[in-house]
Order: sequence, then structure tokens, then C-alpha cells
Amino acid sequence: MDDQVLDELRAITGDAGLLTDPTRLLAYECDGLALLQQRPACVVLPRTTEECARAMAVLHRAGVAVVGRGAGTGLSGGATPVKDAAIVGLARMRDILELDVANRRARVQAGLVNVDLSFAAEKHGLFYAPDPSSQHACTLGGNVGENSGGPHCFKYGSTNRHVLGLVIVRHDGSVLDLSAAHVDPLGYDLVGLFVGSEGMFGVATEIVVRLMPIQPVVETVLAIFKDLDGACDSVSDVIAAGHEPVALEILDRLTIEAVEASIFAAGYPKDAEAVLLIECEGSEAEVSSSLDEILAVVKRRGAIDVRRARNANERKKLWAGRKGAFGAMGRIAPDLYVADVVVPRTKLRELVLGTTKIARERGLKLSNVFHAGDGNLHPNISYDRRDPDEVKRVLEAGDEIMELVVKAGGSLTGEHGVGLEKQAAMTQVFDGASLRAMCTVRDAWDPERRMNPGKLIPVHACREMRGALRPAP
Amino acid sequence: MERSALVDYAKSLDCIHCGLCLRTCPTYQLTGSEPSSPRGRIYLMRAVAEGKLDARDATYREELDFCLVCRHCESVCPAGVRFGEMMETARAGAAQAAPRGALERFARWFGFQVVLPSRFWLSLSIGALRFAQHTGLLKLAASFAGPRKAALLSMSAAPPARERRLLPPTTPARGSKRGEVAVLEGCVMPELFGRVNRATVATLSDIGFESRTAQGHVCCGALHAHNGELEGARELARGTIEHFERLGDSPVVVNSAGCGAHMKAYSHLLEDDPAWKERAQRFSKRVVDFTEFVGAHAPDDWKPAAAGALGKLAYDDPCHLCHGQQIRSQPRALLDRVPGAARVEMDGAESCCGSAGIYSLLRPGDSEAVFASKARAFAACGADVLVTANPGCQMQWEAGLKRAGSSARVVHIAEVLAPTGEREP
Amino acid sequence: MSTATLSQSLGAIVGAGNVAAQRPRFDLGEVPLACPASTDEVSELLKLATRDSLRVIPIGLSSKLGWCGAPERVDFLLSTRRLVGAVSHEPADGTICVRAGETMAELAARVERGGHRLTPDVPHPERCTIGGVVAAGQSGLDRLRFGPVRDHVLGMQVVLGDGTIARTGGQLVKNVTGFDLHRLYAGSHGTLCVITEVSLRLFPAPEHEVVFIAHGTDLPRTLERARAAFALPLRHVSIALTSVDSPPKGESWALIARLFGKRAAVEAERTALAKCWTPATVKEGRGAAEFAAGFRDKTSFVGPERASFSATCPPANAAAMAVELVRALDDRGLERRVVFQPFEARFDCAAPAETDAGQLAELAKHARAIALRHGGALHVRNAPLAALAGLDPFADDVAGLDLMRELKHKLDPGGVFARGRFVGGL
Repeated sequence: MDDQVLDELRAITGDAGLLTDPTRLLAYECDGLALLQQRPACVVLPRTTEECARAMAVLHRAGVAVVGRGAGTGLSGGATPVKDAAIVGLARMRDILELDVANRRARVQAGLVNVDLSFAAEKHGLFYAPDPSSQHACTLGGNVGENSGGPHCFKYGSTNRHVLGLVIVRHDGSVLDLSAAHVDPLGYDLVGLFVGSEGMFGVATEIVVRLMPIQPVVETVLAIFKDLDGACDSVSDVIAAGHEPVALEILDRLTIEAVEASIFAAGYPKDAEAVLLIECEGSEAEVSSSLDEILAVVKRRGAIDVRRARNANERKKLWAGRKGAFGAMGRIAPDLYVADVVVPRTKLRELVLGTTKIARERGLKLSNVFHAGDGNLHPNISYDRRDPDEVKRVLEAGDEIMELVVKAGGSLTGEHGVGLEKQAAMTQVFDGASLRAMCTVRDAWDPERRMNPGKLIPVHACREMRGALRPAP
Repeated sequence: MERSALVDYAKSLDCIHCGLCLRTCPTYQLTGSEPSSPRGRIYLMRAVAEGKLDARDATYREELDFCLVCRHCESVCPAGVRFGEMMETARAGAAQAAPRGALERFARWFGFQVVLPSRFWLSLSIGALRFAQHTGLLKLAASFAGPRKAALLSMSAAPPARERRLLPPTTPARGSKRGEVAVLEGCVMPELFGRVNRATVATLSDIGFESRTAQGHVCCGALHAHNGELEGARELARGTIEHFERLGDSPVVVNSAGCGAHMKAYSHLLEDDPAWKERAQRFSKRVVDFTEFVGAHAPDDWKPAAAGALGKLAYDDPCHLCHGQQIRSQPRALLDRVPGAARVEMDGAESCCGSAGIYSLLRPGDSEAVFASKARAFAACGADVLVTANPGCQMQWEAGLKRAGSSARVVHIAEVLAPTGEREP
Repeated sequence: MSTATLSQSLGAIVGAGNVAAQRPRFDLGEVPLACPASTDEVSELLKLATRDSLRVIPIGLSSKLGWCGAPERVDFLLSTRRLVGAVSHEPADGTICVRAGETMAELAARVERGGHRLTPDVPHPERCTIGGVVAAGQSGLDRLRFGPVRDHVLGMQVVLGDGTIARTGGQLVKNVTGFDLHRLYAGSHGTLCVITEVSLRLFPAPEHEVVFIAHGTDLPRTLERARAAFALPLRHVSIALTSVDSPPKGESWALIARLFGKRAAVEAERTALAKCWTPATVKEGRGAAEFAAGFRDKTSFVGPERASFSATCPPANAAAMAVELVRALDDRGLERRVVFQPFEARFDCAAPAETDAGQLAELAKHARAIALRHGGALHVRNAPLAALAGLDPFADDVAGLDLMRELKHKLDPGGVFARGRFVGGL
């Protein structure tokens, strides 16, 4: 990148806000999807919307592509740099600007870590519902980019249901202030449209979110199964019977083993083939009556044991095991491929089986840990990226899993986004006309196609930049 | 040099790049910069091992040096990455790949090989410090010290010579003797915090244990290991083991979290030394933190003697106690037994205060920046007394609160638990 | 092109029997109304419009045509009313994909057969279509529990101005594949596309339900009671105040709370609310459902017969805004026809039928100023053209209008969907 451009950027963000050293940039060459790598040209770390806007204006004049980045925990390559791009990182924008208890909302800088908002809200009896498993690391800006979910989104919905307003820095550095948070959008729902746009519409720098009151009673139960089918069928039955627990999560045997070996050991029984984590919350009567019925379903489907968390600590432990599951996979192999498909909840059992079969046929180690209540499967394949043949088989299996699921009426991604990873598979879900409509909308936001180029939309659908990415070495 | 020796490649592969460490890392919190995070540093180490990055690279070494090795990341890592050990290897590897400049080499040699292992040199240094603090020489020196000026001026006051004395070889149990322990006196401890050592044995005595010291032992080598001086560390480890083997197989009680964590890890440090491997394992099993030991062995009805009006106190977890040894509840439970003390929780008690061994001396600016958020949290919790369990942290807190103009007291937990008569002003 | 020729061209696509002359509520004369029976026919109609530079307004049953301003020009109306029936209904998965012209009443019956309850619970569900409700972003009285309808739209099939048939989202309760264009289309009032299919998330049908009705004479005190109920940890379906439901003499406000769900939970909630609200009339089960439906329809401001206002603001300001708005009505000696949902912070009121255009415009401006002062907004619905002169029915000042224009320009380059109706003349 041009030295003059770098000087201009440095003048805006200060020395600490601009990284250009190749060694430092190396650490930015991938996000949570370590499979794909590309070193950026520089990293800009603004502290305010204003700094971000000025920096974006400089990058606009210089014609430099921009890749937004929160904490780099995304799993679809949404924050993987493209060649010669600048990363605009939110890591220094993590203030809570306003906690409006009366209106149950908060205005925060986009680099705030998800869990820090919950900690702050908790003091006022409120909570922020979307809770991705990476919530101790991921930023709300990243959550907005990916429309992130989490276990509790089963009842409360993903990020888009909780974002009321945004301040967005657009491709040319202009600031679009949509933070007024009206009950219904005035005009088109630009905020709703922006959530989940994977960094291709601009960079959100401030976010107004909805907070909800903490419920008086929370019950967390672990149901233990001798087979995975029983756990899957329990979930299908619970949904069909019209129950509304806040979360329904399944972990299979391999995941249980990894979790139990980690610091997040939750006391999951190691000889179980699957555990189903159920959480209900609400009033005393609501929780106790629905939990009784849910447990009856679970037992009918063959649960051999049911454990109830007796206090907040035990509940925390059960959840820590679930939320640490992904990282704990590091104990099985150096790398992990996390798929994120969604299936109709009537077909959980057959599709879980199908994914397992696909991995087995390729000699790959697959574990399952997933948001069963939403039908959001995470077939995890453990591998070693130093083995090129294994990498190839992992990618093949990933594609085949997506194909299988789409054929059964499912989708490519429930919460991780399309990014680079599932870009090619988009054509399985959408025809050319539908993809072109997406391109058209993107062009309205960013006519130069400089914002996170080469992501989400498959290359031939709207003549995306080719060769934007170098394959991993 | 073999690339494989530069970093611990095998351990680096445990990292799955999930990022759960970011929020806990003091240097990432300061900078928001990925290479200044555990995940980023591991990524760079891996790049070195894979030949994508030269271990002599100045930025790489700077990022390694910038790390406090507080090991907070280990406490939250779902993959169980042993980051502290990786840092020791990587720092040693980087030093071997590109030897430091002559002056720095001399300073490190003098500090690590001459002063730390020697009671004579340690005593002389602290004596000199007291002289300088009292004569104003320090102020003069500070004016030439550039960025280290504030750090030098706010350093803990070196106590007078009469306080800088070693413990007696044996301190008997009060009342009937319930057992025997060996106590680590430490290198800097007797010089700067002799009162803490005396409070330690007094407390042990109060709960019925006889304490013995390892005569002639000075340094456990923790600071060497953390700073990549692995050979020096191994030598001191062997010496330490020998010294304490002479005291039988009683528990080795340690009141310095950094030393305790390191001595518990001798088994790892000497694992490739067939002659010492088993001895190290046996020794490491004996090592126990002071709070861990008192918590486990104090009689149920034991109450630390009434301390008068101690007031509101906040406990700040030393990194090498909470992250290095997973000791969190014991010190809190002990403090809750002290009559007249009201314990409050401080936000971020488990995050590093910036002391980090000799980090506060090597990188005073960064150390102070890390401390700033701790000072805010302490002020917010409203306590009058800050309790720690590690001499380095104690110095950092004393200096930091002094700079901030706070009148709060800083004490080691042993000073709170010791019988009143043994407590020193 | 003459109306007769146009009707003929339209008839060639949808069949002559499915073209009628209609007088839209604006004084623009009669225009043809085409009722296609398939997405392909919708596409053909729009291709025709593109080719001949015709201006189109998509409608369902035209119940909310008056929610928008007057179009600059309109050549024909395109109604989805013949696009009915479910494309795919998965009761066990709790989702449905339905054609846009299905009425809310038919759709409600359909999902009830599968064990679910339809949201939003809009007034006169037999007079509006799901496509229209989604396109207008219409909320029901059950919004307190379920949130706005846009939150439950999982996907759509739409036809763009040039006749392109495109999909967005899918029929899954959780899905982030591709941009959420359905978020853009929902609430766009037919200015960007014709919605032909909508996929929705469904919610379990309640086992039991209860309605509480209490009365009060003064607004602040009645609001206190509402607040007390809201503070209880209940899963309220709705809490509304109204001046409409003919309260007993001397009591000018009725306060209505609705609860439903699993029987045991509702029983417990009923006990809690009964302690909080004494005296109150309580209706249960079928009686409660019937009362709720009746109340819902009575408070309807749907249809072209009456102008109305819908004011919203941040919840903490809602009570103060409501008090001021009521005063504005009283000051002008106008009858109160008000429904106020304090915790959704929505205040709807109908202007009396006899109000003249000048007075209506003055009232609208005054009421909008009140809403703005409380950080909110005011939507003027069904006002006669004369009253709308110089008044945008949605808002005078909208953040992001340039981008909205760009979106409209890019998605509908031919300008097929009549301009002038939505914010800023979109």
C-alpha cells in the first residue's frame, strides 16, 4: 500500500491504531476459519466512529478494499483478508456508551465483547439474549455482521431480533446514523437489512440493542442417552408438542470426551452416546409445568438418566461444557472444521446420521454438537491441516454435507455466515436471479464493491473479483 | 539451528484459533492488536516452526517480550494450551537464534547468574537501594532513567537492615505439634518482605506446624524460566531440589505465587533430564502454596487472631496462584475467617496487575498501563486494604497506589492471618 | 395506452375475468385491477409494465392502500388475492410457506389445524392478506409477546419490477444464508417488489387463555395499573388501554390484559394478575378468545373510512406521549377513539369521520410534533388527499433516505412500482 495512504491513516488513528509490520499482519491472515489465509496490507484500529469514518474516506480515495473485523472468531472466513485489503478492526472500540434501563436498551461501540454487555446489563436485572458459544471473545459488531445466534436464540431469536439501531460507516467514509431505534423502521428497514450482511454493506461502529429482563426461574437439565437417535427424536417431539424451552442442545460422545478432558469438564457422563441439554425459563408455574412434560418426552425417547442443575453454579458448569466444546476439540486434532447447516427439525435424526456417514466414508473424525432446538447442526470434523490429503477430504465432506442438507430442505448456514467457506455452495440454494438481487442490493450500499469483496456471493453470480484469494499454502 | 527447537511446535498445535483467550489478555486489552494476544503469539510461533517467519525477527521478539506471561489465557483455554511453557521455550529459542546485544547480555548475566542466586549480592543490592532511597541518590538516578523514572521513584521502600534478616532454621509449633513443613524463604523475599516470611511461619506455628528453612538456599529459578533463561533455571531447580530433599519429605510451603507455580512445574522443566526427572516429580508433588496449606490444615475452629479494625479488604489474585495453580477459593475463605475484616470482591481480580516478575522493571511503561485498570477496579470496590499473595504483586500495588496518591494499605495474606503479636507495622 | 387496451393486455395474461375496473381511494380515476393466479402471471404483468412504462401498485385486498401517500401516477393495480394456499406446511417443524394472497383469517384457520396460533393478530383478518400485512409491516395486539411480524418472516418469493422472480431466506427457523432481503421487502409497501410467497415461523396454539378487563377514569392512574401488571413476571400477550370498548358510564378507559399458553402456566399467571388488578372482569377459555377477537376488530382502524394516527416512541416516554396526545384530542373537542399499548409504546387513534381536511392536517402536524418531542414518530393513515398536502404520511425527516432511494433505483430501475407513496416520495 502507498506510503502516503499509510501516513494519512496514521495521522487519524495514531501509531497504535495502524499496523503495517509484516510480522504483525501475519497474525491477521485468518479468523476462526484457519483453513484460508491471506495477509492484509494493513490493519486500522480506530477508537471512534469519527476516526473510522475518516480512515474509511482515505481508503475510499485510495481505492483500497476493506475487510471489517471484530475479534476474528468467525468460522466462515468472513474476516479473512483479501489481497491488498485493509482490515478495519473494532478491537479498540469497546465502550458501553449508554445503558438505558428504562427503555431496556443499550448503545455500545461495535467492538464490545458480547459477554461484557451481559455482565453490565446483569447489574440491572437485564440480559442480552444472543449468546454465541464464542461470546467471551466475539464482538457485537461481528455478531451484527454475521447475524449470530447461540443456544438461547432458539427461543429469543438471532441477533437481528435484538438490534434496534446502528451507526454505519459506509464505503466512502460517510456516516449513516440509524441509531434512533424506532418501534417500526421509518422507511425501508435498513438496520434489519444490514444485520447479517457479512461486512459487505459497510462497517457498523455503534449498535443499539434490546435488553430483556432476567427471568425469575431458570431450570437447566441434562438428559443422558445411550444413543444419539433418542436425543434427536426427543427434540423433534418436544418441538412438535409445542413446548418452548429457551435452549435445546445436543452433544455427542466424541464431544463429551473432549469437553470432559478440558477445563470446562461439566460432569457429562463419559459413557453416554449423547447428552441433551435443556433449559427452561419463565415464571415458576410455567417452568415447572413445561419441564415436567419435556422430561416425560425425553424419558419416553430413552433417556437413561436426567440431572437437574441444583444451583446457578451447576448450571454455569453445564453451559461452560457446551460453550467450550468447540475449543476443546483442540484436544482431538490440531484443526477443526465446523459446519453450520440447518435442517427441518422433523429430520434431525436422519440428517445427523447422514453427516456422520459422509465423514466415515472419508475416514474422517466427526463429532456433533448442535443447537438441536433450531435444527442447527454443527458437524465438526477434526483434522490436521499439515496433511493436504486430509484437508481435501475435509472440504469434500463439508460440501457433501451441505448438499445433503439442502436437498432435504435445509440451509447452508444457521449462524456462522457464508463468508468464503460456503460461497460456492450458494448456488445450491439460490438461483441466478435471486443471487443477482442480492448483488443489486449490495451495489446500492457499495457501488465500488470494495467492502469485504469476494465473500458470500458466488463468483459467477455477479462477476465477483476473481483471484482475490490465494489458496492456503 | 533446528527450527523445531525455536518454539514448542507440538504444543502450538493444540491451539484451535478460537479466540477465547483474547478478552483476558492484558496486552490485547491495551492494544487491541492480534499479535499482542495469546492466539496471535501462538500464530507467530507456529509461523516460526513452519518456516514462514524468522525467529530473529525483531517484531516477533518484541511481541514475545511484551507478554506478561500471566497465564490468564490458560484459565480460559478450552483446548488446554500450555501457553506459559510455550512462552518459555519461544523466548529461549529467540534468544538462541539471535543473541542479544553485549550490554543486555551482560545485564542479564549479572541479574540472572550473579545477583538472583546469591544471598550476598541480593543483600548488597537491596542495601544499596535503601541507601539510594534515603540519600536522594535515587531521585538523581531517576532523572537519567527516562521512561523508568516514575517506576524507580515509586518503588517499594527497602526496609532497614534489622528487618532484612533470614528466618531461624526452625520455628516451633505453638502448642502441640501437628506436623512439620519446609518453608521457601525466597530470593527477594527476605530482603524486601522479611515480615511476610515471619508472618508465614508464625501462622504455620499458630495452626500447629513446625517450619524449617533450607539453609543456604536462595533462588528457585522462576524468573530465569519466565525470561527464557532455561539452562540457568534448570541448574537452580536441581539445587533447590537438593536443598529441600535434605529436609525430608515434608510439604514445601511457598508464600510467593510465582515461585510456587514454577516449583510445581519442575517436573516439566526437567522432564528431559533422566537423572533428575523422577526427583523433580517427587519434589513438585511436595510443593504447596501457603494459602492452600493453611486452608487445608487449619483446625476447623481456628480463627486468625482478631486483627482489630482491618476494615474492608479486597483480595487480588496473583496470576501464578489463580491461573498457574488454580488457587482461588482458599485465600478468600481464609480471609473470611478473619474477625474484623470485611472482604469485598474487586472486578477483574484475576487479571494481571502488571508486576509479572521482572516485567515491571524491564517494561515500566507497559506495566503501568496494565496496572491502570487494576487501580480503577480497586478504587471502585471501595476497599481500604489490598491483599495479595505474591511479593512481586505486593511491590507493584505499593508502587502503583503510591503513584495514584492512594492511602490504601497493601499486605500479603500471611500478614493478615498471622497472630497479632507477630504482625509487624 | 387507453384503459380499455390496457385491460385487454392484462386480461391476456390473467384471463379477462380476472381484470376489473377499480377506483383506488385516491382521486385518480378508475384503473384496471389485475388478479394473477400464479407467480409467473405476476412476472408477466410486470414485464408488460416494464415494456410499456406502466406504473403499478401491488395490493392484497387494498385494506392498507391508505397507509401510504398518493402515487405520482398509477396505471393498474396488481392484487395477489388469487395467490392462495400453502406451498408447504410443516406443523411438526413449526413453519409454513404460504402464498401471499391468502387472507389472514384463512391462514389463521390453516395454522390452527396444525396446532399453532398465527401472529400478528390483526383486526378483521378476513379483510387482509398475509402478503399485505407483511408488506405493510402491520402489527397486531399480540405484539407484546411475539414482536413485529418482520421477526417471523423466514423467507419470501418476490417478483421484482422487471419480472424477475427471486427468493430470499428459506423455510427454516434459523438461517443466515445470503443477505436478508426479506427484511428489506417487509414493510416496503409494495415499492420494491410484489411479494408472492411468505415463509413464517409459527407459535404453539395456547392450551388456555384468559382476558382481564379493568376500568379507570383517568389516564395516568389507569396507566399505573397497567404498569403494575407489566412488572409481574408474566408472559403477557397484550396489555392495552382503550377508550373505545364502551366503558361503563363515568369510566373513560378500559384496560385489557391477555394471557395465554400452557394451562398450568396461565392458571398461575391468572392468580398473580388477579391479586394485582382488583376489581376486574375475567374471561376464560373460549369466552376470552371471543372477547379478544371482538375487541381487536372493534379497535380496527383498517379501511378507508376513517383517518387515523399511529404514534410510537421509546417505551419510557410512552405514557407522557399518550397523555399529551389525549389532551390534543380533548382540546379540539374531538371524540377519543384511542388504543394505547403502553409497553409496545404505540398509540393509535382515529380521527372522527366528520373532521375536515384542514383540521385533520393541523391535528396531524401537532400530534407528530408531540411524538417527535418524545423521540418517536407518527404515521398518518387513510387521510384524504387534501389533508396530506405538504405532509408525508410516514415522516418528514428520515435517516438514510438517500440510500433508500438508491435501493429503490437499483431494484426497480424501470420505476414500475408507483412512486410517491412511501417515505420521501419513494
